[in-house]
Amino acid sequence: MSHPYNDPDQMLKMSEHPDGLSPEEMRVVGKRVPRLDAMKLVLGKPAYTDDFTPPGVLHGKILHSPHAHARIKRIDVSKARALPGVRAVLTWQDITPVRFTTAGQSHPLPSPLDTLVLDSKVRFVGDRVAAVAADTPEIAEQALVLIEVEYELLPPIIEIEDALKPDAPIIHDEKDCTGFKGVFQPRRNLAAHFSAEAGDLEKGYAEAYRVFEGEYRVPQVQHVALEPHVCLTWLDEDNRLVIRSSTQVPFHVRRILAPVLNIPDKRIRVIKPRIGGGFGGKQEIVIEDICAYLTLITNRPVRMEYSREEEFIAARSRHPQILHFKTGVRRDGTISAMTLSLFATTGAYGGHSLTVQGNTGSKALALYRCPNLRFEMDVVYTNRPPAGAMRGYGAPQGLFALEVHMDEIAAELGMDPVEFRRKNWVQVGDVFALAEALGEGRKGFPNPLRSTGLAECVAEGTRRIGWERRCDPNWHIVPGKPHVRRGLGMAALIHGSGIPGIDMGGAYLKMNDDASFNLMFGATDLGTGADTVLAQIAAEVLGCRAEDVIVYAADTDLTPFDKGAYASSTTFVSGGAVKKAAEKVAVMIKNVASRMLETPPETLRLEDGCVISTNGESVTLREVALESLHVVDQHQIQAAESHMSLMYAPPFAVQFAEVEVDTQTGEVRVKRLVFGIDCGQPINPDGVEGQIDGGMSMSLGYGLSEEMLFSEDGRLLNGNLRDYHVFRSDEMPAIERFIVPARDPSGPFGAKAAAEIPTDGVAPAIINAIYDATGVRLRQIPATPERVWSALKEKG
Amino acid sequence: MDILLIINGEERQVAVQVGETLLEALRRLGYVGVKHGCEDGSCGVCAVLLDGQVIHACILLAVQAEGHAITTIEGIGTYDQPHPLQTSFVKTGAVQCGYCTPAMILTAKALLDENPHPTEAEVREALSGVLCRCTGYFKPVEAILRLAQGGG
Amino acid sequence: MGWSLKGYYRPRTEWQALRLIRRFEPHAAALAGGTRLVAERNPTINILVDLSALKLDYIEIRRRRVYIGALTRLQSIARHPQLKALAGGLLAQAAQSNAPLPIRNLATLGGTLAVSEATSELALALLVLEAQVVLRTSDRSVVSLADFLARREEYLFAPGLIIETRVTLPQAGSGVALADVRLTQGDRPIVNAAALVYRKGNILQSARLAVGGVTPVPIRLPELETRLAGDYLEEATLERVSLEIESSLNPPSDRRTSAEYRRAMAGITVARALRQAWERAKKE
Repeated sequence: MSHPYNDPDQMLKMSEHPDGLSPEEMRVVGKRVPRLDAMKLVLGKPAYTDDFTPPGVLHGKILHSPHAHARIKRIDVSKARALPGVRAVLTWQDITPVRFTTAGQSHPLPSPLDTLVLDSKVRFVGDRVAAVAADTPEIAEQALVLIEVEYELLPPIIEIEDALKPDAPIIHDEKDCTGFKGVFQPRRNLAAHFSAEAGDLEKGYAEAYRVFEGEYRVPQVQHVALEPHVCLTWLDEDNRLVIRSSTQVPFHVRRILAPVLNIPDKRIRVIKPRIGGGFGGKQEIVIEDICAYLTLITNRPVRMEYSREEEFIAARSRHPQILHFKTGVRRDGTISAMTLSLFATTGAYGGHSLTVQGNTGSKALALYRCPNLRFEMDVVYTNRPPAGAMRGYGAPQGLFALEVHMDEIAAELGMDPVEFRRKNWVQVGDVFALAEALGEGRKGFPNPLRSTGLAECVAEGTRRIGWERRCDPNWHIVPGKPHVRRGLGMAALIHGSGIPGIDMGGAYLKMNDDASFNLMFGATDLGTGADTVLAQIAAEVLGCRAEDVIVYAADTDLTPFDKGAYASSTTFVSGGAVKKAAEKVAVMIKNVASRMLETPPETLRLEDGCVISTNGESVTLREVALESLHVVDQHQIQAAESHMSLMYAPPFAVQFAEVEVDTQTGEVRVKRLVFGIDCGQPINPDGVEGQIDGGMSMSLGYGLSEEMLFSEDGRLLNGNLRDYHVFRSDEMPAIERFIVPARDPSGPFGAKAAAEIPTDGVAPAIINAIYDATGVRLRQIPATPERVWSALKEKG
Repeated sequence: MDILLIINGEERQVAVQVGETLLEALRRLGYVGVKHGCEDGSCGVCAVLLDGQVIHACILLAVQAEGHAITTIEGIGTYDQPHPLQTSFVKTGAVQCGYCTPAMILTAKALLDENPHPTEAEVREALSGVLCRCTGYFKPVEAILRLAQGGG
Repeated sequence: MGWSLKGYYRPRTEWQALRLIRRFEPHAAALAGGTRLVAERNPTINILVDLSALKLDYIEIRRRRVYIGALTRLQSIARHPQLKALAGGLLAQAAQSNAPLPIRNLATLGGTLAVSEATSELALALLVLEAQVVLRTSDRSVVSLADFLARREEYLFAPGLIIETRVTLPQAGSGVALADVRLTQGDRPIVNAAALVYRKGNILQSARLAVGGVTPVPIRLPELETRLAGDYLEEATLERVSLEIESSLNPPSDRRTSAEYRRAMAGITVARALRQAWERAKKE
């Protein structure tokens, strides 16, 4: 008996336990299993990319452009090349020009192919001008200084609005950039232009009792993973290029780089070791291409590591957007029509431009029931550092605007913000009207919603935060501090569990003599705990402990394909592959045990390292292993499986915030955060809580302190960790988190995602709480003291 | 120049460049538990103990550390005998990507060595020199307090 | 990432230190804690003169006079039991706020004053305590901190070294306070202020006020202090103080914070520091 690939009926049985256990009876899934890799990390063992450097390694450095927009008229590297210890200097003249996208995504690539390894034009302050490989980092830095460049300056476009002006300079005027027809319009500086509609908007707005409009702005922000981008490349003894990199997408890196480097995929191996944080910034080819080029030219191993300044100016960031909502509401408080018009910039290069903004639409418009929807997006090029994937992938932007907008409508209607949402949020059975149109660059799969715990999350959350205090005018005043006001705010949230019909992952599982198992998958743990979660899924099926599963992951030679760590897909998709593989292995184990015990396989279950029959007899897994490997009918108990789901199983959540606002200074302090998540069955509650904790603190920064600030000529003004403020341990609010497990039939053991949804809610909840505290509604984040102060002054 | 560094109780004669930071020297010597996250002492993942006090190794020159006792994460525990803080971090689920974990543990060790029963505010103040983007600091603080309150 | 340095010296006397700096100028720099110097890795500096052997790491308190050596670490000040208790703990609190723990364990008082960030809490606190700075150029001299901050570059590039900071702790009955406005609780201040108040009943005998974040270095507000002396302190007085400061200052604008906001916040923080210092003076 085996699972056929991609049978929709089988997809809906993913939640079932092969031995029929109920969630409460499960032994490993749902338990706080300590991370399998934690010991080596607390001991400081070598585990990250830069912890192993081969002897003779060269150090690579990049010369970054000081100008936001310029052509390289002349570049002279002779002095740099002549410096002792310099082994290679590359300029655009040394590169075979192949336009690619640095965005790590599946085929066909939905991002424009607009990037060269080295180009004769620079398009943002920080863009690549040249690259050096030298014996030491110091020599490499000295070589950079010796490179002489003559630029022809071009007028830069820094503000989003300037990109579409008729006389705006064209940032991608090269003849060989390509993208999706109709979507990619470089001569208008449009990296992505798209719209989709469902139902009948005219009718929808006509039905409305009132129509509400609002425009909201979100900033360009940074991942600030503590480990910078870092990469090591070398040619092995078979002349294959090996890339060891802190990457979230090893398989995409291999496939995308092959034509760029002009070597076939099969001559490239990509290995991902431990990653010190990624958050989407490493779903990207940031330095692997240039590092590999230097290895190919010098025949030596090359190491490249970004400085923190380079992280700020030459890595990736979250797309800033201007979002315009127009919503029609009927007399009974239900939504009759909704339009989201989105204007964003992707910076100088278009990676993720279609898909991030598309995801803004497919999340923001999917939370509330509405048959009449319109979504339109324009993503322009500007001469800013490029934006890309960042945790949430369009949802933090969209849910910020949506949840402030919904709150505004509730206030206008005189309704409680929770009640207005309750009237409108999606229910089991609902189909998202734009599901087909918004499929991440291709046709999507409209499947009905099968599980939601949003109502329970909200009920529990309102209780925990003390939502009724909103109605008490006395509570809003703080005794002893007459200038301070308190407020409560909330945001309802939806996200995704992978992208239906696109995301796929595979798993190999084999059994060893001692009844330990080797589990290999392409899925990419970037500190998310994926390795442990996937081992738990396997162990649950196999009746063993998670520690008996030895994980090896994310090596393009040794593990099967996985699209990588993004779209909150690892538990839902890669976990499905692991579960299927484990179930196959369980069947093989039972077959062997059946012969040993002389009892039919249907009477057997796996438990506690044993195979147990209904009549009480048992053999240990170890005995089965030895029997199968050595004694009779010898074979390797093993399985190879993959999983892709067409099902729609979004997680839901609710975020509550309690704030204090100093009305004289505009300072906003968050006192409490309450987060309730429906992630289906939590595979590891510690892991889910960890994702919530980190996501909330990232969203705190989004709402209050983080913003990339640019000069008029495109220089980043706050490109360091003192001037770009990430929240620290001594300024965190008190938090509570809880899980409402509304299990989905299509998730492994009922699991849905948890990784990104926690970044979506704090920012809108804070804005809504500021409103509750002061009567002032900002439509822009971060809500800096000056912005709040200005708004308060304006209100009078 | 040649200097004497005392690392985890071991004396090592090391050739360093004048401008080489302690972070660069330590990683070069194999102490890769000391991490690089920035170059100006603003992220904290390079934390080591200098005479028992937590400092940023990226803004201390190796020559300035001569003669002082340097403690890195490698010096406080092993697989066979992990430091109670290391065990507490693992048990509490306080390790995600792990990149800032050695810095947090060393910071906590310095705190507990001097103040075995800190308040939560004192723990948070001590940790404010380490940036973390994964945990929001919640479980690390819990791991430290659990140990401090459990009388470890 | 690396810093190309050619020489590193650790002299034992002030005279030797100055001689080395003079010999290699403008490429030599005095190294105290190094938290700023090493972070910046200025490429024109290639000689470091490490001051750590000069035996300037001390805190001495004799009666009401405090003497802090220039190489005293900020953390020593922050934890000093007497400094935590005296003068409302102002100096200890200011040292604690000035930087996070790992920086405080290296950064020195001398280095902090030499750098003198616009919002340095320590500079603010020392200004209202009317601290003096002992300098060594060719010989030792004593200048007021206010004078030092205003002519800092002139003094240090002579070349000169900060040797010691001296403070007379205020009399019993005084009240001190710090106030600030910050982006978040844990970020550096945008604007901040310090106040020291002597009162008799409801009369403000004298106030010393300092504000940071509106000028390149923190400054005292002498005209305002003069006008306040001998006044009743009521709500109206505080409002007047706010408005006066707002209208008299000319802070810069930058991409994040406007001059208008800084002015308004200067008024508010000085008024708040003044009010709090006043209330504390009552308790003592």
